[in-house]
Amino acid sequence: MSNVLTKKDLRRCLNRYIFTRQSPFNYETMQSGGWVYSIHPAMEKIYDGDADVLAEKYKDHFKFYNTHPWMGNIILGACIAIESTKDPDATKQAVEMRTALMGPLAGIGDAIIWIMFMTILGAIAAYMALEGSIVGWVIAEAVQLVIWFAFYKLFFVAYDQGVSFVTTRSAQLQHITEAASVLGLSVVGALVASTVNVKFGITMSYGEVVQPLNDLLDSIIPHFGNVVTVALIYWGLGRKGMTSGKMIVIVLIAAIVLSAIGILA
Amino acid sequence: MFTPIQVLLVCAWMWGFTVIGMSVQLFSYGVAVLHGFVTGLIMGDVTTGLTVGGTLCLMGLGVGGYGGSSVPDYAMGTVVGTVFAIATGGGVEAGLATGIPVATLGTQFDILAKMSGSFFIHKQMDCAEKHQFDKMGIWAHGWNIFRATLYTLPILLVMTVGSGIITTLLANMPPWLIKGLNTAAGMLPAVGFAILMKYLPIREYGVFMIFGFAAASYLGLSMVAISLFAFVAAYMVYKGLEKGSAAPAVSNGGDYDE
Repeated sequence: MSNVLTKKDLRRCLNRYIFTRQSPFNYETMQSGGWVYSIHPAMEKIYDGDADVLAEKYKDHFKFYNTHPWMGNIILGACIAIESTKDPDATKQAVEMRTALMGPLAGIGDAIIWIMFMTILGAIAAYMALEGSIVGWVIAEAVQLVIWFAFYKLFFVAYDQGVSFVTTRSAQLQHITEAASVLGLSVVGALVASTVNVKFGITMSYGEVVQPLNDLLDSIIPHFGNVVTVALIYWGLGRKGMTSGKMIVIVLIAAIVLSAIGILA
Repeated sequence: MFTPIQVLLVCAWMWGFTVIGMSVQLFSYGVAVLHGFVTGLIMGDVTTGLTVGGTLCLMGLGVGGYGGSSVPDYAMGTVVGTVFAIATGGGVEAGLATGIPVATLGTQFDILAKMSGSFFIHKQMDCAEKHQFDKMGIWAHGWNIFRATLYTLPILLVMTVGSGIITTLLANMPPWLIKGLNTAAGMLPAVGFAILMKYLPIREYGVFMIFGFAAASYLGLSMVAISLFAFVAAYMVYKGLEKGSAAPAVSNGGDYDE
């Protein structure tokens, strides 16, 4: 690997990327605009500012690109490393690798950075907020800062080690993602009990005895209403043409109607 | 009902946060709590802000824009919910009554911003074609600024011309609607968890949901305690997987000798 790029050049690329990695987000090429703008300081130096060459190469880099933005730091570092070889096929290889990596890395990023940490720390922040304390959010943000800066550093690691950095660890990353989903599912199970709050409003009377339906059902399975609600929504999300946005509107209307007619408390 | 300073500060906060929020993505864990706290601070009632933020944060758990999809904007909902909860004195109920509809409508702003993105990306591509490489930044940064402005407009509108209408609506809300929105606040978190279940490998590891559910409902353990126990389980699963992927190479070593 040629070493024309200094640490300063790399940092310029990364700083551009951090502020534009999702913009201008669009439905045609998604995140590719910020990507091209970000690689430019490095590309200009690698190809000695040859504008015709750069314009041609950017046509490839403008192609569809979408990944988890933090994981994008790693892909960016590895792609700049490939381009810096000045191999005639470098751009083709870089864009091919970018396309090959964006899906799997987005999956890992979503599972760990968005789902696992965000759900656990978001729940802690929310519960402490309901008790009138901001401390939970401070904890959540402290953890996020650590992870965020780790990904900042991983850009440089990816540049130094190239593709091998990701490929040699692909099995291990897959295992970490699977393990993270175990943590995620446990927490989701706990949240179904503690955070969802669906109670039936119907009471049943046998002569003198009045029994609220909800107490009866909760004695069979605790938080019965929560379990049924989550199961129904899970089933509903699997229907054709259903989106999470539509589902939220359906649940909102169902909640208002069912509580108005007294089925739900 | 809102002082110009309050309108200015809330709008400035929303704008500045949205510029940072899309690409830099700091402060995104428990983001509704942060919005409730800051908006509460501006409006002079942090406790109500935290209550509205905490409630909407729970509703949004698990609801994420994975893979570029658009989802309700509970952050925008928290800002609007908090200002009306405090200004009308209606507390968390007024917060939910304004916050939930705004969060749901917030999806449309995300879609609108991403549709407008086509204009910006083509402008940027034109710059590259004309060799004006540094001008590409105008369109890349410009979209972020455009999006933040788009997100601030509804806040500005509800706090100025719309505030009278919303206050009247809140004051005349029928009891069944208030009750219904409280029920919705208990039901909406279920959507996030169902989305997570769709996303996570439930066939292989679904049994861990029972573990978490039982720990919370029978043992009454806190979120931190359950996370720690679940971490131990996750660690053991990880160790098992690492061992599993190494093992076949050893055990199959002599198979072809005969």
